[in-house]
Amino acid sequence: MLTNVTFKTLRDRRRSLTWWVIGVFGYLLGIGAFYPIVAENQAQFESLLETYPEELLAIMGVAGEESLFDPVGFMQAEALGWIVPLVFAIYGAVQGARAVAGEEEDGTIDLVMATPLTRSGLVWQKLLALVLAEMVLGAALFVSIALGGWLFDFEIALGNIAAAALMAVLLGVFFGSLALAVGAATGLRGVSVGVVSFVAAGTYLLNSLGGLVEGMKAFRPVSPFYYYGSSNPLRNGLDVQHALILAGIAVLFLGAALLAVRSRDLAVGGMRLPVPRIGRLTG
Amino acid sequence: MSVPVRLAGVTKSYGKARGVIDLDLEVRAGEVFGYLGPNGAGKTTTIRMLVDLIRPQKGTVEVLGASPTDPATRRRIGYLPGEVEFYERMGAGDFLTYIGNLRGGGGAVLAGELSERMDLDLSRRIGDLSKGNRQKLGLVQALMHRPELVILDEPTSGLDPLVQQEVYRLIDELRAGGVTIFFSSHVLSEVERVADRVGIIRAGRLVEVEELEALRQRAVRTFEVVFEDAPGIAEFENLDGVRSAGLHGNTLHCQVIGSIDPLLKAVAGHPVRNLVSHGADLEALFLDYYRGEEARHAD
Repeated sequence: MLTNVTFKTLRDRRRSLTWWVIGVFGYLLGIGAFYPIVAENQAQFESLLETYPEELLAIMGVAGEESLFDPVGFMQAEALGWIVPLVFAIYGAVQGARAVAGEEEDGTIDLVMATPLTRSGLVWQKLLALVLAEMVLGAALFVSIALGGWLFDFEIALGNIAAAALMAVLLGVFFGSLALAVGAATGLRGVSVGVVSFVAAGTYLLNSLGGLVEGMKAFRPVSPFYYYGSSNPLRNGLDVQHALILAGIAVLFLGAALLAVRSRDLAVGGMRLPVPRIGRLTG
Repeated sequence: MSVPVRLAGVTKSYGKARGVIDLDLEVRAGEVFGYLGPNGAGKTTTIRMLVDLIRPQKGTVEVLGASPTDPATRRRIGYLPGEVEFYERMGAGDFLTYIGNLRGGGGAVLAGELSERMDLDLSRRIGDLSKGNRQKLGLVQALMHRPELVILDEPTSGLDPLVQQEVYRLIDELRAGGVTIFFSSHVLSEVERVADRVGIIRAGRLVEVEELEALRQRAVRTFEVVFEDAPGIAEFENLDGVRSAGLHGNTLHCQVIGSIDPLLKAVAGHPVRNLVSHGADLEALFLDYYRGEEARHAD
């Protein structure tokens, strides 16, 4: 397991990843277990839902759903519309921020980079570890929904579950590679998490509320959450174009991370942020 | 054989009074080079450039005849950082396996031998190791792949005397094996103990590069001569290399820089009851360089 940076990183993360997997798996299986009850009492739930404001439904990612009481609509409302993308995004952001900036802040990067390992090698191997970890989470998502359907007697096409899992993985990798790039450029874990949290929260709201406000609709494609969910992969299968857009931008972030870390000094405790000096600017 | 370390016109500045300025330095193959200077003089900055953790703003850095940005060059270097940090939760042995693999594998046998010799328990978690044992682990990872050049940044700082001695012995053995060693220190006595040649850095500038022997020649010795009868002081005051001569009763106190021959010849002209010499005091010479810095700061 200690043959390269990717495996070593996964080995380090095995305990925390196990808990994330248990969380995803337990939550989705639990939601599945509720489905029969909801289906039986559809009328009451429908009247309850009618009292919800449209904005709340939008935040939950279920505005415009055909039905909230078929298995897909239910899963969308309870999990895939909001909590699943956030979980995958947060996991990606945390791991991405730790990837380079964490090693740098901890000072462990000194010994690692004094070996023949190249800086590019460090970055892409760290990203690969992140992709694999997200895929493990994606597998948990796939298995828990499929197993739920089998145990609690609802049917969602396996291909569509796989498509939804893939989009969640890509969303996680998107934010993970952004966090990695910011961390690689600054060497500061806190800055990386902060920037990514800001971007994630902003684009999440833009996507969910953008569907309600006429003037904002045009801006929804700016949001990665739009590509993650607007095509509703659980109902309609994979939207290849949306998947490629998320993956493509993640690759661009990787490129930015490579450029950033190759051209700068590595420092224990991270880079000093460039603060413009007024004196130099004026005189 | 290529020059192990060559810095030419290297500048790396971090603003006021930090980094190094216009540094020219060559370390010869097979020597132990002591890089001496007070804290903050630029020792670590120099060393981090040698392993490509940081890069110079001006000048060129050449290690083992190539650039340290080349991974193949770094494979031939062993490096112990000044404040070495490890993965706290990792086992010590696992860490060595990992670093060994990053270098392309190998080194496990030597790592085991070195650890056993230094009494380092590789089965323990790094977070549970004492400061001394962490330093030993740092040394093992720096030496396990039989590097041609070993770079040690203050390798003995904070270690108890027993471990310090172990480090000195290791350096002696490496030298005997033809390995070039570049090590930094702010403690003169240890440089005296192990180095062949010394570079003294102060405020980012190299102020002296000298064979240790030559430095000793220039170092100060103190003499205390007790005569049967008090001689005249004038006779000793103007001797070559003698300074701060003073006579107290029958006893002459003086300091000598360089050859002691003139003093001995002069002393021999009088009946002598006792003569005490305090060995070449590099410390005093070293402090002169340091004081130079203080004087500058006082300006």
